[in-house]
Amino acid sequence: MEHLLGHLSHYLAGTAACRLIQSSAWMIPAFQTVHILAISVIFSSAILLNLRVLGLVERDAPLAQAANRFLPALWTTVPLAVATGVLMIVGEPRRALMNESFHLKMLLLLIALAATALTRRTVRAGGGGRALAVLSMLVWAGVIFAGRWIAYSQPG
Amino acid sequence: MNQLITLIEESAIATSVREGDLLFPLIETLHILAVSLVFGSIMVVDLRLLGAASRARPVSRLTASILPVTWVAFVVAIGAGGLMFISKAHKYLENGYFDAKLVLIAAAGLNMMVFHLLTARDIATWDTGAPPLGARIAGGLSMALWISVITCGRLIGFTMPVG
Repeated sequence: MEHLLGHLSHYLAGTAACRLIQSSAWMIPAFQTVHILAISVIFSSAILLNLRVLGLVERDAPLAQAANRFLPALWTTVPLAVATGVLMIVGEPRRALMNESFHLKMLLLLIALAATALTRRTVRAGGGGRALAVLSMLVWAGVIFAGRWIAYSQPG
Repeated sequence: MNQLITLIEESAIATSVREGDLLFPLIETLHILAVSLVFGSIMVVDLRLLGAASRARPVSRLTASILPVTWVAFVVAIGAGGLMFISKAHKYLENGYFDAKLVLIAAAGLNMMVFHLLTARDIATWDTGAPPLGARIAGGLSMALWISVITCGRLIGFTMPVG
């Protein structure tokens, strides 16, 4: 896996897209800003939905209705976060691909997405899942944590 | 003023934030988590004020339920942001994006006050219906201002490298 990512990183570094992003002063900051905005929407949707599952917000709205408002916002914003994330990887392949914090972020992201999909199922089945709600919030926070840590850990 | 800032910078807390290898990134991450929640939760309200989402929820009930989350996150963001600020107060104040960020947050606060004190006075008449122009403007302005706040926040990191 490490070897494969090394090859991918090496390949991306040689592409015209990488050189274009590298030669621009505004692209990386712009991608990062949109990435953070997208993650904010995803994170907040997940937090608010899970707080609703725990009965801490929106108690006067049915759980299914709350889920129908927050989950579409979450899922439709994921492609934007992924797209800007990919652009950041293309621009600085080694910074992310060879970085353990990035690997951790991807692992946590998969768990967070799975937990969110599971939450949708439990909500449709009639609610419950308080432990899942707490776990989901923690893992989503972990995604942001690991993401910020990419800037502080050296690529291998 | 300058002396006061130096005094703050030299305080024990500011020094430990500045010199601890882990403390600054940890506080920064907490700041980002909190800011994310501030932005996302305000977006829920802004989209409702624009008439673009949560239309089945009365505005007053939506804000009563969501805004406490926003306020808690805002207090955490200010706390963590304040710790980052005092660690390098002079450098932050000299950074145009930092200054712009503070002005934009103040503008967002003013926008919210105008909405609560003026636009929301007759909220009972449009609580469940289509929001009036004033509410739409408040929602759109709030969204634009908070996007600008986050943009400035990210640009501080590019114009004032950590470490």
